Amino acid sequence: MNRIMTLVGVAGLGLVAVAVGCETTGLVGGGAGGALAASEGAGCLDAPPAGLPYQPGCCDHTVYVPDGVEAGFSSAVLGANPIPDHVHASWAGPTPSSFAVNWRTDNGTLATELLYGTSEADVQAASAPGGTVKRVTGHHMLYGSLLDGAQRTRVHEVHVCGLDASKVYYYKVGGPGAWSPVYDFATGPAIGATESFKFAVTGDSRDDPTTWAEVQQAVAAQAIDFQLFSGDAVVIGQNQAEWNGFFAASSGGFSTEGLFATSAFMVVNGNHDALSVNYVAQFAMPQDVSPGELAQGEEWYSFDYGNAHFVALNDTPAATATGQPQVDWLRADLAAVDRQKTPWIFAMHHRPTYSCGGSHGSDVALRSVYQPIFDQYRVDVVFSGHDHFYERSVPIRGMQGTEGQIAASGPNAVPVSESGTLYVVAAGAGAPLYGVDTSCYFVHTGESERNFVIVTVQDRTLQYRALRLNGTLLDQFDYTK
Amino acid sequence: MVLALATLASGPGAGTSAAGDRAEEQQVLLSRAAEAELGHGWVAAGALYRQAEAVLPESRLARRARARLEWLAAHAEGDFAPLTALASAMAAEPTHAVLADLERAVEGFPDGRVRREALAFLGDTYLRRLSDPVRALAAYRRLAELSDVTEGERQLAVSGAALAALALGEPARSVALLDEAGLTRRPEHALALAERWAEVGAPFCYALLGLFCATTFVFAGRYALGRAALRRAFAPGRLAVAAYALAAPVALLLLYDDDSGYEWRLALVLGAAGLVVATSALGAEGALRRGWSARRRAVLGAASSLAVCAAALLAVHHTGWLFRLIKAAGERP
Repeated sequence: MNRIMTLVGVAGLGLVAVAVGCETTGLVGGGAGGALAASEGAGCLDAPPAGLPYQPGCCDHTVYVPDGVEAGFSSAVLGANPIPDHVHASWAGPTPSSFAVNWRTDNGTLATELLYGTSEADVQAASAPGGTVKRVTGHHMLYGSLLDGAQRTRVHEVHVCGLDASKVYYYKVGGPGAWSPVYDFATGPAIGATESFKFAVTGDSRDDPTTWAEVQQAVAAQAIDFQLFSGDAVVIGQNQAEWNGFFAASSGGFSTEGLFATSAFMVVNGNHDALSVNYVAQFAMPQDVSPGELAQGEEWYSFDYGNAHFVALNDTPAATATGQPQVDWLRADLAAVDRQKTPWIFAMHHRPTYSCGGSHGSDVALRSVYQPIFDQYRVDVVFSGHDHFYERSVPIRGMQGTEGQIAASGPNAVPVSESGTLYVVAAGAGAPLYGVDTSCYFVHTGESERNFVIVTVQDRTLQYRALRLNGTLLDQFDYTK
Repeated sequence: MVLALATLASGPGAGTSAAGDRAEEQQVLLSRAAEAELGHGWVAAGALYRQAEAVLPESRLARRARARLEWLAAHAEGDFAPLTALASAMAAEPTHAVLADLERAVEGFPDGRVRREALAFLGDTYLRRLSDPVRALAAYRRLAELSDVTEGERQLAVSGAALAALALGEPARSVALLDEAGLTRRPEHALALAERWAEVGAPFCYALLGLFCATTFVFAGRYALGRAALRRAFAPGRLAVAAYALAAPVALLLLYDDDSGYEWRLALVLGAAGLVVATSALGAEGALRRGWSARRRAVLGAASSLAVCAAALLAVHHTGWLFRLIKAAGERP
């Protein structure tokens, strides 16, 4: 009797454990074959692909879908509620000439089209390609997780390529009779160009979509070109209800969708995202599949924007973080960077290698593996999350044992002639804040506040601003090299 | 300033195309506009952004200029005087004197977005930077009562007031504020509910747990002494139940918890659940040896289950999951 009652008493928690522990991760793999996937009117009509994976029209990259999802190509089928929501843009191909868009519909909708052009009015009026308006079709995916029960989610993905650099395009997604609003998206400058650009860094939205929306509203006011997100979008990555809150967060009349649809959102996996199928299916990141890599090549990746190179790493679980496949890839990727064309290198991963206070502190094992590589290739700034506060290190270069060596710096702890790497923790865009500690030898400044970072790059000058949610300045420096 | 200089330094070289020249011109104009904004030269900044947009209207940088123009237009009330006052206060080190000055200035602001943003800034800064929830509450109430407040801003104001009430140690008032405003799905509501529960529920659970453990331990001590009895008490079946009971909280901690170092919380979960399972087992063994009736054993089993529930509640409370579970329950359709 006693045993039975004990069993009953914990049954609820036991179910949670089962749900948490058994979700599958999306892996590289094919899926269902289907109808056309092509780009019309752009001079790059393709032959219909034989199936998944496929190469979208005009694109040089291949698109894979996760295992465990039902996938297919666009067809003229609309469900009961076919109007797209959760529309968000990213780059899976070159930033000057492409962008990708993901969105959600009801499960019955299979139409996966994108109309685009340089005239907002023309795109608004169009329901098919013609004149200045072009069309690209893509693929859709249906997935669910144990936590979602019988509820499954239909998402769609389209890749647009062959675009001009540094130019504004207007687009809408869906299909005839069920289009989203018209959004604008700007391609990046030519690689190596010294044109000014501006990006935001956020992380750990997790528990609180309202705060997340408030952070994004503040970010939107900065007129950014794109955003880096250092992981932990949700508390439990397999729970689609949380992802719905993440993509459709709103506050004060502001909706995150308005920002996510108009500027690229580049993410890395956090420990809470758990590289779940929800995470993998809803984002389109560069899919340069390397040996040992999961998530169709989206587990770690890099991209160039203007005169900067960006590296995104997966540090969960620890075995992946310090595993040879990713480390080899990172070394090879950074070795291939042409510092004449892209003198700036920014890295992003979730768990900080330098963090004082909070609940985690520095991940020393990760530091021992990553820092020698960051040192060798003179990475400028490394962005992390995980500890929910803001913290910036002094420039660090070299190690003695597992401790970093403080490098030469100018006023306000700014590196001098690439003397060291700055390690930034910028997190807490919704997750509970942690107490900060600035007593560690490597800390320059820190504060337990909702925060985000805005970086403006102008040729060889970097303007760095960390802001609180209320818009006040938390930290700043200018760095020219 | 630094960016403006960098822009000029990287100016057009010989042989650059006309389009390239225009791009350079646009970039210089944007840099000058940003500088003008820093100096609170809002009108000049607007003129420069308009010029920048006109140079290459289809370009990426024109989009940036348009975004800033929209922002300036939305903050232009009172010929930008309120915006200048707010921007000055935001740039200053937050002190009661700075905020008091802004509070006085706000009274003279015309209706509009800047006045509302200034009140939100006052509430937020009093609450988070100056730890003055009383003044924060006043600012948030003032914002919520404005005739031109938007629904989103009203929600922000009420939520801020609820957080201020929590900071004052008044979770019941916090819950009431949110309930009255119909904001039961805000995360602050779940937070306030969790805090309110912690005021009464946590001591009750601790008392229940302590009483149960002490009673069963004494009971077991009187009637179930001896190694053989202990071996039976910790039979494989009972240990399996214990392992099952602990699997969920341990999995949550190892897989997802990162609010603070999980070691002490792991110890709490293991300790609380382990103690209950152990004392339950000892109590059951004692009851068997004493030859208790099925009815009396059922009462003991029920008490055991209550203790397990108390331990589980304490575990989710101390790991921060109570707030999340309440929030998740509220968000489910």
